[in-house]
Amino acid sequence: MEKTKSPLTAKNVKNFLSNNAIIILIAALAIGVGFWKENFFSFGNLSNLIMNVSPRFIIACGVSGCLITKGTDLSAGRMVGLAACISAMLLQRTDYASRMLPNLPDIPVFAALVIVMAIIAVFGAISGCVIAFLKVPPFIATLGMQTIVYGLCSVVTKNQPMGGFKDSYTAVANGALFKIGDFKLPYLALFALLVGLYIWFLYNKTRHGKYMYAIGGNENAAQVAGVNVPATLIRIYILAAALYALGGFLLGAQAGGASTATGFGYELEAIAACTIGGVSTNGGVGKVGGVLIGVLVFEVLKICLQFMGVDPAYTFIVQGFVIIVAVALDLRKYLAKK
Amino acid sequence: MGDVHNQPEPKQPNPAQLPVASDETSSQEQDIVIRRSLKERLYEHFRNVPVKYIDWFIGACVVAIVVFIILGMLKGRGAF
Repeated sequence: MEKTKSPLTAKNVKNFLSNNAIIILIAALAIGVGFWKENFFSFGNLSNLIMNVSPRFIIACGVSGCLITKGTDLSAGRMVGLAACISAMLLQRTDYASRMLPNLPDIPVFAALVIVMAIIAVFGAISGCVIAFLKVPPFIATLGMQTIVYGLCSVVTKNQPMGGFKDSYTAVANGALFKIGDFKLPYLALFALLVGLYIWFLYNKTRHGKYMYAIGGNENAAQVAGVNVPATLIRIYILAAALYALGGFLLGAQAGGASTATGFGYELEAIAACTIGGVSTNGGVGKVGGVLIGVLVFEVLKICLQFMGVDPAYTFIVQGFVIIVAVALDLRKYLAKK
Repeated sequence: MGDVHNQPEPKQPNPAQLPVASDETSSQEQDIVIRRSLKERLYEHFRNVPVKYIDWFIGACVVAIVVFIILGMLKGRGAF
């Protein structure tokens, strides 16, 4: 009888550690902070974590589609900001003194969401067309779109921060499905769950998902096999933009205000979260569960640093180094394969 | 018996059409590199870097993370 090899070899352990180094480090940090600080492991903190993770997970799901096809989307953050600003303009109280659109009638919250998603999807379609038909590298195309969207946001909002939202809008983010003591499950979590389920279904059970992974694995082979690569890429960037719009809509509701600075830097966080969660920027690899883990890792890191009393400026430095380590680990996996 | 002199001469290969192995291979390689994503092209620059150097770099970044966390905590408490 052949002896079966134990999976716990030194090489397997080393590979597991190097592939999940960041997750292991942050988990260890969270456990350490939990033992050190009394109320780290509390229901209030958990609710806070869920509220912060939900919109970022939605945005990261959008970015993941671009990364799986060997692209990227640097315009995510600015599209989130524009979505938040347009939502703000459409959903300010009718009796608010500084209303941006004073002649606009009262619009239902859901209608405003549809309008915002449609507008931002147009920008996604433009990015997709530029990438798919003009063969401009996604990095360059989305970098240009980032600047255009920011400029448009400044023009539309006249660089004025906005507030005075309707209660029904802020309730979308601040309301809870249920409350047990200090713990509340916010509506944001329901949005994130629905988006997660939809994206999982799209990536794993539909033809579009298979085309996506095929393009990410080998675009030329996918094209030869009959995949309509330009159409698939455009759909990916349109869907991504729609998700950024949803994320921006929810962020605006959560913050109770919006400005041109809303969403700034979110694309780098989303890309880093996807990379940490195993969405390879080599293309062709990535799971929704990995995206969620990546976003959780980033938010847990921020909360840990907050609890440890780390100065906010140093928090940015630490996050930057975590992003560098995530990319270095991805590079290491790539070189080890070669 | 056929007329030997009427047999068609074997075609001489046109030198211009002969594949020049090294040039074609290198241009094919160039095409492959150009078609790769920006990230892959960036990573190609590190192809000859031993993995252990990447490990040292990652280790150095982890040390930097720890250092900046400690400095951030000290700054947050007003130590400097």
